[in-house]
Amino acid sequence: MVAVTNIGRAEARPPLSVRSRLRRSVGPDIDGYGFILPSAIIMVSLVVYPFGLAVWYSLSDAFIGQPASFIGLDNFIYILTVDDIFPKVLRNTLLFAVISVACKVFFGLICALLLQRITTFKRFFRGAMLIPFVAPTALTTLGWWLILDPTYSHINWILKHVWPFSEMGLGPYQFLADPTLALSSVIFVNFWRGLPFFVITILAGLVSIPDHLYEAAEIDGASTWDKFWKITLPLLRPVLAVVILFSTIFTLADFNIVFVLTRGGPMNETHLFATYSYTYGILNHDIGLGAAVSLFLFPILAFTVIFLLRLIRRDTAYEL
Amino acid sequence: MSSDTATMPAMAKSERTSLALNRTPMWRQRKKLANYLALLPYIAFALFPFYIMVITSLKSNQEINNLSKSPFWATGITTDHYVYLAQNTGFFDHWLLNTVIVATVSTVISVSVGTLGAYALARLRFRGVEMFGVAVFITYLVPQSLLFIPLINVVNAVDSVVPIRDTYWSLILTYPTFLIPFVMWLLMGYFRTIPVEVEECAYLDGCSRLSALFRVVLPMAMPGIICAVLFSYTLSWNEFLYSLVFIQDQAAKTLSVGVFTELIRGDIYYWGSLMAACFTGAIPIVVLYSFFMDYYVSGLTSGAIK
Amino acid sequence: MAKSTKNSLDNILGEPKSRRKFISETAAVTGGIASILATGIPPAFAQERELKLLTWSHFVPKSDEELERQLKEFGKQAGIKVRVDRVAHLQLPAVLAGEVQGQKGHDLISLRNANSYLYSEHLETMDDLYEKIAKRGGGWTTDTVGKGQEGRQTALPWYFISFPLVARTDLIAEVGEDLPDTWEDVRRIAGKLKKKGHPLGIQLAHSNDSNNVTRGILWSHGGKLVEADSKTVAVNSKESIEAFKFVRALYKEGMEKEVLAWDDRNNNVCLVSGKCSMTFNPVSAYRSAVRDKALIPGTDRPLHQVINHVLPPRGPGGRHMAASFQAIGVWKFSENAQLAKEFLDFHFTKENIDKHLTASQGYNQPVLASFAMHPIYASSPKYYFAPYIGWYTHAAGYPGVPTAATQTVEDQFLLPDAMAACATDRATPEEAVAKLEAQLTRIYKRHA
Repeated sequence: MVAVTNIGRAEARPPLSVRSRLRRSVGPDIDGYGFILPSAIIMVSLVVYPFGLAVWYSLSDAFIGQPASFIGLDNFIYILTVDDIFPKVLRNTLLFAVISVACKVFFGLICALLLQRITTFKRFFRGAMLIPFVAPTALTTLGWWLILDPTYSHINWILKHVWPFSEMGLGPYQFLADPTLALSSVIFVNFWRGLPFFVITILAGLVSIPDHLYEAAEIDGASTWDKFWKITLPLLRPVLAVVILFSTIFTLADFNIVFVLTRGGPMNETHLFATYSYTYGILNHDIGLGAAVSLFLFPILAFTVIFLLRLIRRDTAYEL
Repeated sequence: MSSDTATMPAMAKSERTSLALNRTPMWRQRKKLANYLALLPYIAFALFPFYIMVITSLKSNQEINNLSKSPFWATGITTDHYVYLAQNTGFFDHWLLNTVIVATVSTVISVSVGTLGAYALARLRFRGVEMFGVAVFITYLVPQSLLFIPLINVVNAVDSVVPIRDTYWSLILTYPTFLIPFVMWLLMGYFRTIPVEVEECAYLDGCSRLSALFRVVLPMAMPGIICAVLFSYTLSWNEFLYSLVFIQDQAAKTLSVGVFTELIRGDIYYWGSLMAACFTGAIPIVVLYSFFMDYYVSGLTSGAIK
Repeated sequence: MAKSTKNSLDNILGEPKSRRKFISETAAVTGGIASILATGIPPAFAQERELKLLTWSHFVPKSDEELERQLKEFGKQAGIKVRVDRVAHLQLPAVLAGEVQGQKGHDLISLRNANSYLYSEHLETMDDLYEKIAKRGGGWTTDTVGKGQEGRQTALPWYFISFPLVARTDLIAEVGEDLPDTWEDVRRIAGKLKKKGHPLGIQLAHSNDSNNVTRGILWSHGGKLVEADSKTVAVNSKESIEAFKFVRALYKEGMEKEVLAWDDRNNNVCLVSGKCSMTFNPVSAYRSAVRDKALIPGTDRPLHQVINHVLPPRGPGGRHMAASFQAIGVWKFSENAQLAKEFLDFHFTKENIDKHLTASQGYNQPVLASFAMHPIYASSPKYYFAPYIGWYTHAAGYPGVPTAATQTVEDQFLLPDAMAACATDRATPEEAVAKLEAQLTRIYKRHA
């Protein structure tokens, strides 16, 4: 997407050397086709073709292993008007993505600021923060399952046995059984997994902010708070936009966490697009409906992308 | 390692900060301590599940099921679960190796193909380049769970020519679908940060486009490439769905799927061994990151933002 | 932005010296990877004739081993290579769907409840083998398993995994009760024991066990989801509402909230940890108590001694329970279909079925009348229920046969969800049943 913005502005590039201008007037870079050929082949055969097929499925009455025929928008109409579970899925997915990404931004920013300031054990702290992101999701979610499990419930054990919680008389909480808590739990686990990506990327952004800006601000007598609002945050905006965009894509399409932790229960309060489309498409063999559910992601993603791209573009105002 | 880190770019700046801090009065020192204290909850939060994994993997089954005992401490340490993993499953014999091979080969393919493509998109001007850029981004948005049913047809079509079902080649073929768009997106940004003048000089010296790319541009883009490599490696290491559908042969499975098959039996979960596998499976990739961490940080910055 | 790029670039790239050093390091790593690749990739292509069987990862690893042994023995006789592949039971549907979609995969596949109907067009007809084996085994104990469309037999009933009531005999004796025989007994005993901290555990959640047990409750109260024609939705009846009311009472008096989140394994854990007094489960709960050497909390006594199984309770509508029925079928696209059928003929002999059952420690309960009385079930009083439970056990879809719609209703966990909504007072029994009826109607209409 960054490509998109920059290509749009390519005309505005400063004039290049004589040689390159000559080359441009003679003709375009024909060898460029050679460069993109391998990736184009792979993407057309393994992404574009399957994607086209998926769109076709969503417009057909396709069942697994059976010939399909075109039925127009019937699948979408079915989901929107007949299916009483889909509104819940839509709500869950939006809540899941918005809350999770918002938490990641907020806590990721704080953690990155803290990490930037420390000097000793820096490597340990950074490494430790990154671990949740790199360990296999399917397996770490199993670990969380053990922790949140209704029967083992390590957290309830803390509430019951560890001072000061034992005095408060809290719990036991049904982390995966109570509808609100269950959705919160899957959001929490997604937050746990996604936080490191934010921390490390924001940290990278912080590191690249030139010192002299802060020094200049200090000379002008700016407070720490001022520096954060006037320098750090504006300069971080492009980084934030990119991680948010990136994380939104991953979060909206998340499958493993719900599939392992709740399988969509209790009473469908945690079903997401990916798990619901899996239920339709794979378990019920109704790939038409499965594809239609998945495709609902598209407008949501497109909206997010356009919104964030605008955010990045606006940042050209902050030229240094 | 420490001497390397000191020279690392990302470090250099903080190093200066630390010098500055040393010169500051006591209250700043205290503030520094507060930084560490404030970080502790984060670290505890990040590592808590791993602690549970390790502890659980060292407990006997009897103790795991004893709800009255503390889940946070093992009274008797047993290595049974690791032994079970080694003797009764293909964890160390096949799965780990398969995962390494799949992750390595698909990363190499994706990064090399993606580098070429990204370079063309970032630098070269020819008809259709913009369209291709948009296409890369759109493919990025297609959910994986939607792609895998149609992908089965593609894999089968290949399989009828060269048998790849039930071997890791099927994964090596399919993983680039989600790796290449990412790599291209990341590197495209990175290549833009490299001044055009550098290449112009190379051309004046008589370099061809390819040799300019390899001799001049790639070395400068190394942090970005490392970042792409690490990210691709992680994504391939963690993949579950394709691996499940394309491989059923016990000896050809990858780590996540193999663990699910062998250690979850109906409604019986081998918690000890599962947690042992979780923990052991995470180690290689954590080690990898700890080596390249700082390149990752710097690669991500310039790649992602510009 | 362009200028900021350069600034940060300087920061990032650092000194030229370190950059060069880094590049050489990277080169070393790349070289290492290359050497791993050179040695690590074996030529994985084998093009011999191979008979492949796909099944789920059984509770008891020995069961899968015995199956593999039989397949190998058969392979030796027929002079071909053989292979048994396994996947976790929750993931089996995805793999089957993939094989049908691609028309490629294994030869023999293990199928659950409605799979034989769903994949009807892709499965070999088994009618002749079905008759032949029935004659040999004294007839099938069920006539709804392995059915395809148009009444074809597209798979052979293989075994079923029953759902008896698993009870802690010591706790029940403590409150002066006998092992329960009716659902009212269960409700009364559970009420007494919950007060002592030992609730009843029945999943009302997205889990397979839940699908089975909630169906058992519905049927034994005289309710049903569909008519015997497998098409007409019949859930909205007085009996169903009674069943829902019963579940609500059972939940409030005898269970804890955690059952709303339970997976198939949680009731085992609850029982093995000494908390739960009763649950419905295959013998795996008991077996895991044996395997884990679980103790009765606060004592040194093994827990498995005080666990027993009894037949599912009786209700106003009789004694009924659902169970996971496994069938085995042969893909039409298999290149070894004939061989695969021959293997089934070989497997469904008394000797081999017995061995398979013994290896599975009694899980794989036979669906052939004359095999039902297996010595293993006489070996321990814990298994006395086993030869009889088949009479009361039906596949989902009862009183009809399991169809594509049945499978959808199961996979979306509609009955457990409806009962859970009723139990937690999110809906009255009447509302819950009416909503369930609407959901079933839309699904049966779609699959019609």
